Amino acid sequence: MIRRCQPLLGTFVEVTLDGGSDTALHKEANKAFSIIRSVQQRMSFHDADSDVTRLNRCAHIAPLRVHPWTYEVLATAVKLSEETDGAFDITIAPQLVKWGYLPRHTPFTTLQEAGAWKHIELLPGSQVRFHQPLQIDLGGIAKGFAVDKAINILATRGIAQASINAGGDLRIHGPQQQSLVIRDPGAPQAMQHPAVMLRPAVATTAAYFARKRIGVTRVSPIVHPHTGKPLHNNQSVSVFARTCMEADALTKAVLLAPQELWNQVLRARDAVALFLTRKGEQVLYPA
Amino acid sequence: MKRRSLITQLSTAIALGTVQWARSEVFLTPDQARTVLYPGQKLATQTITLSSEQRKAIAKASGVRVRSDTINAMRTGSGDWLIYDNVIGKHEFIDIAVAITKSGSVKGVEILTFRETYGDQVKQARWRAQFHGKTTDAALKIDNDIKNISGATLSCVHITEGVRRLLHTHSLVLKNL
Repeated sequence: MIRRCQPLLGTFVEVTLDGGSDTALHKEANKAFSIIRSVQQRMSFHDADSDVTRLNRCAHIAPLRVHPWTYEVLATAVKLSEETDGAFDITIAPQLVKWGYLPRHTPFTTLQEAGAWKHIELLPGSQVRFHQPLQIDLGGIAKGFAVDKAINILATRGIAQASINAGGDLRIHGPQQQSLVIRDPGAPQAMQHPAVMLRPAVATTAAYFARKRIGVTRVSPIVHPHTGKPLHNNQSVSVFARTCMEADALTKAVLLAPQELWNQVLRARDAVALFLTRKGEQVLYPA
Repeated sequence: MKRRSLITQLSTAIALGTVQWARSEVFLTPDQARTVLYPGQKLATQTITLSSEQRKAIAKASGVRVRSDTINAMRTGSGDWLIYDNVIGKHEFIDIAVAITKSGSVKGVEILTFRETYGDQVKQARWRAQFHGKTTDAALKIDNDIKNISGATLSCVHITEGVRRLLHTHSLVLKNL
């Protein structure tokens, strides 16, 4: 068995592989990291040449062709926005730029002035057009996509047992039952709660590592798309799903959408949400 | 009184099986990292001591503080570098191996060991010192049985800064050796 870790996607990406010689497994791990690196190059908000930055710069002027992977993520993101009535929305970037979570590339528009997910049009031939100037950020979905892509490649290459963890967005492949632990939102470094992998993929979202103050205002990168207000509380939600992309995106929907709605979305997508209560109990939805 | 309540809390948590102390993991030993980054190549060890002027110049160029004046490096026959370094984050202390080509581009970054702690602990030199030269020590593998942690995303910005510092170290010092 080998374990590797590289700094990618703005976080620590861990690859664990089993079933083969170390030399062979290291080669496969290199492959997995290179897939993740290419997702990063296409979908990073930070990178001035990525598909995301190009779209933010000029997709409101004329349609732009993007890489099929970027197109795939955008299509899923828009679909999830539809299903969650905009609680999951990749167009909250202006607020994240304003609070310094993301760099400022393009002329600045406020969240109120900018368009929303409804103004993203997906055209045939991997072309994308924005009907209003807007800024997308795939930080809430692309990590999951990168993990899925890498796991799928490893599976087709005959790896017996694999797990990839991109800063808490995790997917496993293989027959072996795997366990995981979830950080306690009250003491994320100190306490972790054992849980069972209810689906092949899981993602957790909470504000504890990224909360900060700007003057007297407390902000976090979990932003309600309708109000522009940050999520302050210490809530932590983990979503188990068949793909890591769904798990990644659905955590935000669960934190921000009305419960009735996200329950319905989780059911339709065969996903399960796990909340950690203050006492460390685990509560599962849909009940 | 305070200590007692902590002990009570702790023992309750352990009894319930819900507690795991600070994460500490070994991914690669320095030797393994060398094989991964420069497979089949012979590298010669080079330990370099930076002068205070060099440290200042690197800090100025990279915008990152230079904590140590010793560089533990290796060099291939063709002039590519492998540098072993460490980075202190907000909650973590990390050993890294960075491969930098002769021309000064990053060929690869591998995390060797990763330790998460409680805030300030990571900044105490004595606490950190206990780990030096112990990267292969099994005692570091505290959570050996459970591998997968899910939680809010921890930023790797300190690694990015560390790599930037090493790139400037290369262009200001190593390149001229």
